[in-house]
Amino acid sequence: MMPVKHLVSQEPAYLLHIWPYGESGVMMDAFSHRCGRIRLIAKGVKRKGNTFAPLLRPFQPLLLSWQGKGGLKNLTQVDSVMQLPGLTGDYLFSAFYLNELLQHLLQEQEPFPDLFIQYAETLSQLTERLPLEVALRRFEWRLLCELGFAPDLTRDHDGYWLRQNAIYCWHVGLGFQVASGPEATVQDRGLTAQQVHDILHLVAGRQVLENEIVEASAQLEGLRLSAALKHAKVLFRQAIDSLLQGRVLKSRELIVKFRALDTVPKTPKVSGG
Amino acid sequence: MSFSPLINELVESLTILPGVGRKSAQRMALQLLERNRAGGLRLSAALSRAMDGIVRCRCCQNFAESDYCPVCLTDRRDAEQVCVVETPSDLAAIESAGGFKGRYFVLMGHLSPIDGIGPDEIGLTILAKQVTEGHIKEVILATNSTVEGEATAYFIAQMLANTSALVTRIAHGIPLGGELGYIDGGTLSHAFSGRKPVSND
Repeated sequence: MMPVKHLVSQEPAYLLHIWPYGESGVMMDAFSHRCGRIRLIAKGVKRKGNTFAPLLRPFQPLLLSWQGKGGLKNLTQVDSVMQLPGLTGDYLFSAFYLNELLQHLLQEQEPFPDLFIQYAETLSQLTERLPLEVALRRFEWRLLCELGFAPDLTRDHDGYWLRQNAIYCWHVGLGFQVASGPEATVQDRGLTAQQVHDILHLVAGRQVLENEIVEASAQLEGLRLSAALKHAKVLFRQAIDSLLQGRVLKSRELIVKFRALDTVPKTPKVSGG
Repeated sequence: MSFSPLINELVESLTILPGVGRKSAQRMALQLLERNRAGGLRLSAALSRAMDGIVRCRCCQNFAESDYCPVCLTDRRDAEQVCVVETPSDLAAIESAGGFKGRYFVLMGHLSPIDGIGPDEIGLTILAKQVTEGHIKEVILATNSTVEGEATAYFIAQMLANTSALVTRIAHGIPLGGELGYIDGGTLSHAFSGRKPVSND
């Protein structure tokens, strides 16, 4: 029998993280379109004149080729699809958050092609400095959907449609339940059916409305949009935290610390970069 | 393997060195025992002295043999300029290139959330304190040109934005003698965005 060579060629991927490996090599975790999260090694990339080294950066669309059938693949080729401008400030730290989520929540070598598309879209939104919170909430929603842990935003835990006059609270593993007693008054936890519905609009992306394709969130304006963003953040965080099983996301802490520095408006003095 | 416990222990200990596996460790151990016992003793004495005697400089966080390192102690360097680097080997590279006469601040790492490294782990509060309390006029960010290096630079720039110090970032671009056709797109676009007017002075 011919030996089977496990070759993957020109696979769209993004690097999630890079570590030094040996004297002059690197080990990488990448998120690829059809193979999911994979671990790769590339030897000798830090040597002078290596052409891979400048391309091996997170947040840039790449075409990776590798071989190997075990858990650890050998990187054989890297090509740059296009050069996205570097992320800065809040957007850069948020991109770290996306990577940390994928790094901790995706099983190795389990493909998530739709999530890959969403990831690529989210990164380009961050690059274009589009509204950060909307991009992050949509990514979190897609991630939760793909992992099968997205909250049902239409029904309560007994399977009934959410009722207009009730206040609901969401619980891990149970879903929305009619809030009882003091729970309903906890800030951003007790939600009306309308508020839950607004979250659905926020994460739905584009939809057809009166024969026109529109951004579903365009129906939300001003205060309703900011309320939906706040409620989605609290809700998705509960769901994500239950998946993380006690692990603390360092990038979240970093974003909080970075924003705390930003209390006084000022002009950036850093030049270059 | 049928070595005596002492040899086994030596081999085991040598494998902690970067890039040294069991096989190389065994070769090193036998070489020292067979042919170079004096060198082996010298190594063990130097190793033990270094491990006990080397601490972190209180000012720049670099390795030092007393509370302060020679670079921070000397008054022949410009105390108004501080260059922030990730590792002692980056410091050594800048020193060997020459030209910089200020002081340093060695982070001993970079911001990397996935590895669990935040601002406190790399001593950024110490740096902020030195800049606000001292007479530092310029902070030069010489962190690596990796995403983590950039993130570290942005964080520090933001942290020091309200101080009187000027925060600068080292330039990225075409290496000396480099031909544009062989340079990757990322470096090239950095070089373009960081272009400078040509002066004839």
